[in-house]
Amino acid sequence: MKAIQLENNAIPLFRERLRGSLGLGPYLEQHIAGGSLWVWAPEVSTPIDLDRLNEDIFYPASTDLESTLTNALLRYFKTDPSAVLVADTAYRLEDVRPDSLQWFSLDSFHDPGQRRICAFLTGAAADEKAVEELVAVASPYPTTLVFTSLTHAADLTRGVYLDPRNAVLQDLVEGVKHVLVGVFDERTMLIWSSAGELPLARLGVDAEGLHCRP
Amino acid sequence: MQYGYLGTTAVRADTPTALLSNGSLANATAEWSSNGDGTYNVNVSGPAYNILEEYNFLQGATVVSFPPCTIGEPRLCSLWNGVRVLAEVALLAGAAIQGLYNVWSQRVPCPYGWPGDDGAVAPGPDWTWQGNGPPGSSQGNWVKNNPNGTTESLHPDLNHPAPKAPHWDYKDPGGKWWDVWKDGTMTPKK
Repeated sequence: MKAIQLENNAIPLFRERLRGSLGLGPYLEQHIAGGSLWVWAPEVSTPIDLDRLNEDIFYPASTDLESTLTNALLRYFKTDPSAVLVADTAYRLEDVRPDSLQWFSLDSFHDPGQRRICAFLTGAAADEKAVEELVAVASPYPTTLVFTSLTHAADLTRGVYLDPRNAVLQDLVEGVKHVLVGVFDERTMLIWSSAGELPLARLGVDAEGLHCRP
Repeated sequence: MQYGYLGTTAVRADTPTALLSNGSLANATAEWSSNGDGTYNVNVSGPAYNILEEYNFLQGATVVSFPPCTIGEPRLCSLWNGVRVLAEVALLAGAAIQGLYNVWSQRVPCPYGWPGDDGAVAPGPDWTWQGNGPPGSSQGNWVKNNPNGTTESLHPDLNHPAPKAPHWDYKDPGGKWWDVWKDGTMTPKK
């Protein structure tokens, strides 16, 4: 798999998907202005057609996005000791949740009367099993994974409620480095990165000629 | 490049020889017969066609036209009614055929059968809609929370563009993804 940078005409599609997220994702929409947008693509691929991003025919049968995703998540923790990974989930406050993962709640961005549940991982708890568990509990339509960081990861405690003015929530939002929004049936994962390149997948690939054209 | 008939949809597929020499695809494909001019008649069951398409064994499928549909989904209708479709037949590796069989052999009953033809209707009493869009829309999922803390989700994809048939996307308690077909079976997503 290789990372291919999309041109900015894909940003509206990304923001639309982000708006549909259940937890932290919608809080980030205002931050998705600059940066760059990427997809993982097969090593051998034709030029990317934005319309086809909505179809699973984009990827051949040999595509293994799951392992690519897992490796990218693990790599993120290795490159940033203060890394925090957050997954929006479909859990409600009253739902039983696996003990193996950590959770926090926040107000629903679209319905302030409700609370949403996010799962999170910090560097100390991140291994392959934990990362796979996090992806498994992520809400699928869309799946939103937020790569952020905290200066003091201990500030984010299990079960904490982060109201909109909470300083930890503000830090999570301001520290966002990458956001992955996937719609798994279509097998496309759009990845926004605040930087000009995608550290999640530095594969040394020359993407010239594969950029999406308007 | 060879050509066969699969109704009126132009697709690339395995050669009959490759399929028949494998032998294990008898349940998935049947009645490959030569017309003597490099073209073939092929009958493929609806679910088999779904598998062929889902796993890109009908690579680069280009729809030329669909025959008039009188019942159900156009593509399945065309196959089940025996209407011929022009097919462009290309060679694929034996490993790919084995891969197809492996996928086909993984077809299992969906624990919830066919969840229904209306995505706005809950698949069952224990399912709640979780999403920012209205029930059945693209933004959200039907979610079932289990007592052990795991979740399952079903997402309707009932207007999926041809050639893939209407289906539901099912995420099982372990996080594994499946396509649920109208006959109540499901196959792993690639």
